[in-house]
Amino acid sequence: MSSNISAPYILELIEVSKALSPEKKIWWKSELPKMNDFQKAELVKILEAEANAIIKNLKKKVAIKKEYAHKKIKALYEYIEHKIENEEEIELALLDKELENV
Amino acid sequence: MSNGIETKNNVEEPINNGTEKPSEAVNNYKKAAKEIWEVENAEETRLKGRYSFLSDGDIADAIAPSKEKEAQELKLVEKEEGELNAPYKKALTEFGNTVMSENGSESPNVAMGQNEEKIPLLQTMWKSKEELNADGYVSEGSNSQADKKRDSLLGQ
Repeated sequence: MSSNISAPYILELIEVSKALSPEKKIWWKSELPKMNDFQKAELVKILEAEANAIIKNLKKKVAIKKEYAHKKIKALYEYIEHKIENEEEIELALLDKELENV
Repeated sequence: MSNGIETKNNVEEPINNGTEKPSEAVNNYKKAAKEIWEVENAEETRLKGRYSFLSDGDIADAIAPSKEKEAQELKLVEKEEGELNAPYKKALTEFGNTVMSENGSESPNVAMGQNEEKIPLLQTMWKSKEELNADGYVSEGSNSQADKKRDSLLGQ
């Protein structure tokens, strides 16, 4: 049995749940005062497992976003570098052309 | 009652290590995702200011391959997320039914003022249990919501 089955904690878990529709959230909240400790512990068990899965998933998403933010900026730096090199080459070619005409 | 869902043992880290509220943990990850996006945008803006030749189109072209891969990976995680919901939905529905019958509560739909079973109320009042059985509304020996509703309306 979970040691943490205080009403605010259960309400918190209900709020975080994605498996519960808004209507079901209201229902569970209204049901809470009628529930015995065993029922509360069982509900906490399911909702805690779901909250863990939600958090694990969010963690994955954040890791992906972080990885690709880095990759995107790196790609942008490479693009800039390439463009600068090209511009330098164009400028040198123009200079050569001018020198040829001298 | 066993719902087949294990807690805390099947995840890398327990929720919030007992120090953070579940909603705080969720909000912190959401905040982190927002911060990453802000840092990324700020860097793009900084580079655009520094290199006058850099247009929005250039930036879009340069980051397009990474952006596409990122979207694919995020889509996969979101798909996983959708599949993850299913066992919890099932467990919560099953447990909700148990709580309903143990505590004699109304189903969420009935409690929200919706007619969950779509049985016309008058029909359930005037038809006998046998007739309702024949209509397929009530399974044999069940103590369904329709039974309870009719019984309560008839004062039984």
